[in-house]
Amino acid sequence: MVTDWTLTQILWLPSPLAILLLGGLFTPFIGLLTERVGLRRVRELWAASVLSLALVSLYLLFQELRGEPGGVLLILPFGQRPPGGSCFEIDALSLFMGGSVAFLGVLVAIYSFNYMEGVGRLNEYYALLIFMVAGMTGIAMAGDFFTLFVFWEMMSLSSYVLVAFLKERWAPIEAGFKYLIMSATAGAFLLLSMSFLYGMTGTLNFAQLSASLRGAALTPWLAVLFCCLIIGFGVKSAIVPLHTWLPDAHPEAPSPISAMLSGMVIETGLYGLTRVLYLIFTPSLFHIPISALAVLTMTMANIWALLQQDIKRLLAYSSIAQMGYMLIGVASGTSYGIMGTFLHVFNHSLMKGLAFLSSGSIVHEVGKRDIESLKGVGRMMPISTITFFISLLGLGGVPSTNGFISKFILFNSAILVGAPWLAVAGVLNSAFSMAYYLRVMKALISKPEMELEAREAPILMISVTVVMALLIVLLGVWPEPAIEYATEASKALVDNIQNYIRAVAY
Amino acid sequence: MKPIWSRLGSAASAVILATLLLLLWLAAMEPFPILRYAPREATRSLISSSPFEGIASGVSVFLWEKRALDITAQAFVIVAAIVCCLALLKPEEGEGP
Amino acid sequence: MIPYTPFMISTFLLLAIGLGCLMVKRDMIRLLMGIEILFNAANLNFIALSVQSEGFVDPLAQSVVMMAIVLDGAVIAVGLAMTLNVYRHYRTVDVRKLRRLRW
Repeated sequence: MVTDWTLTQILWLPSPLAILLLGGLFTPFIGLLTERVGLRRVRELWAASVLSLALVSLYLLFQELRGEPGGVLLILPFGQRPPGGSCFEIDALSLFMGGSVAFLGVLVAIYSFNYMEGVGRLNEYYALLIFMVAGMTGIAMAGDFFTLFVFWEMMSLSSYVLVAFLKERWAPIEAGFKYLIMSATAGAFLLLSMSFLYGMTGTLNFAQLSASLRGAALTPWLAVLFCCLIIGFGVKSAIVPLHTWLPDAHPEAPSPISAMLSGMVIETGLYGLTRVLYLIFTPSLFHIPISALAVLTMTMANIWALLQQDIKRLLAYSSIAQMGYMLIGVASGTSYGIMGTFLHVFNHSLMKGLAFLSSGSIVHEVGKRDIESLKGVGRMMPISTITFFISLLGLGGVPSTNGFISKFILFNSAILVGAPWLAVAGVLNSAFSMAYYLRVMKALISKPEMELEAREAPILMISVTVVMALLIVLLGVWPEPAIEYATEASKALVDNIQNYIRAVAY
Repeated sequence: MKPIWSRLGSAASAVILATLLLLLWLAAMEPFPILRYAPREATRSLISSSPFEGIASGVSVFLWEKRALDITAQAFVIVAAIVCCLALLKPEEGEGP
Repeated sequence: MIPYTPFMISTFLLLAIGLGCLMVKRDMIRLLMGIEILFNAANLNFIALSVQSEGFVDPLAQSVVMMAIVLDGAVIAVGLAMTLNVYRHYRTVDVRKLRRLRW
């Protein structure tokens, strides 16, 4: 337990969260002041440094967590005691998610230096980016259901407006409005499921909920609670009947924000679903519904992705399919399956982030998003095209990329738990998805049909994509460090529940 | 021949209505398990309801003493909402009112 | 002891009204009102469950409701700002006209 002033706590909040919140608060002011004075680029440097500082402090928090005997760090802000008071309960899984979010956030902030150059209102852009990362970090660290809800709304509000950021065109506004309506409805269902949980147990603390409800037999009201939770978290994590906002919202957002949305926001929805389901239900109860949803999501998203002509829309449908693969790991109920899920979360954030960023460079230079009109661009922009190829190979699960490692673990866990049909469905879908990835690759490197003028993208944008591509290949041939962190995270979720409950000693 | 959208819409409305009727039937058959799964020890801080005017001050004391983290986070959510509305409503350079 | 069943019925009724409003109405501002009704259903459920102990009131649920009202107001504010931008582009607040983003 941490109650005194250490390096990892600022103002009674865990320091990554405090850095991000205060940084986001000061960003508009710094942007305004430095623009009046005439200094340029200060706000971009401020945003990038706030996000990197948060990443460093997450590492320090991780070192402190390693020293803790139970494996759970309980941070009590303002000196309040948990039952009744809100708290932060941090274990290895929270830091894994926080680290992935901050890492992708730093890369996206550096990429936005050049991508968002001619656009106005940049103070608000960087402030909202930092608030979105702060919201996701808060969701990962929350120890109380209502704290999770408050940070959930912080992340959602920032993402609604970042989708509709380029408001001069009609398409982002329409996409942003549809996204807002569906996601706000899901927030209301989340609040409703919180009220049912409160009614049944009298508390909203995760540890106390787990101690009370885990192991209870299935009654009709628990099934109602399960459905409301699936609706509440499922809209944000793009499970198939509830995914319809995604193919409109992700293409119309600016490319770095598409990378952030596809890379981490939908995975945060999956993290919330996993955390709550594993804490309050035993895995045998939800094995069948979640596997059915996984197969439905994978299959339908791959079929729809085949029909797309727009490159970013195709990548958006591919995100939905990857969420289906991750649900296989959630349905398995073992710590090996959860390890596959969260390893795939990190790998997918790298791969899909790289796909959106490098295709964003291509679209930024050429100005068109149609696959047919991008023919031949690969010969004029070699580096962006090579990094895009590496990300597509990773998404399809080709060996020697990290996508292969995580998909192998996911399908293996499905076989080990006794549901081989899930693994067969997954492998078939994976092979099926290479069809449309290859179609995009073929279009990019074929002979140019129309008159296209494209230079290589600016140096900062290229260097970010090259770094991510190198990481994808490196983690594919040497996966041990990533697997070790993911195993620690998954053991904290599945095997360590008794310590999680005991840390909130009441 | 009704267009497909209104057919889908009425099908979806029928499904929603059916589930809500199912929920109402459940509510009649098995009452909501109020506090059935509550933890053994009495850990909830409750306020007595006899002086009726005392409830409001009791709730506000609880809010500031035990839920200060949520209030801080909510303050930052309000700041984020202000920045959101600024981002949506600021005119671009060159754009008229 | 305040009986819970009438309040539960009202929660489900508000849920039905909110979902029906979201599906049927075509004005964007009515859609935002529908979302507000859904949030109010959850708040009503919280308050009704907070008075179920005999002679006592649980302050946890009431604090949650107070904070949820503020959060929900922020969401609706951003929604209204977005509706303003939609009107600038489409010259209408009819949500059935927002069908340009096709398959």
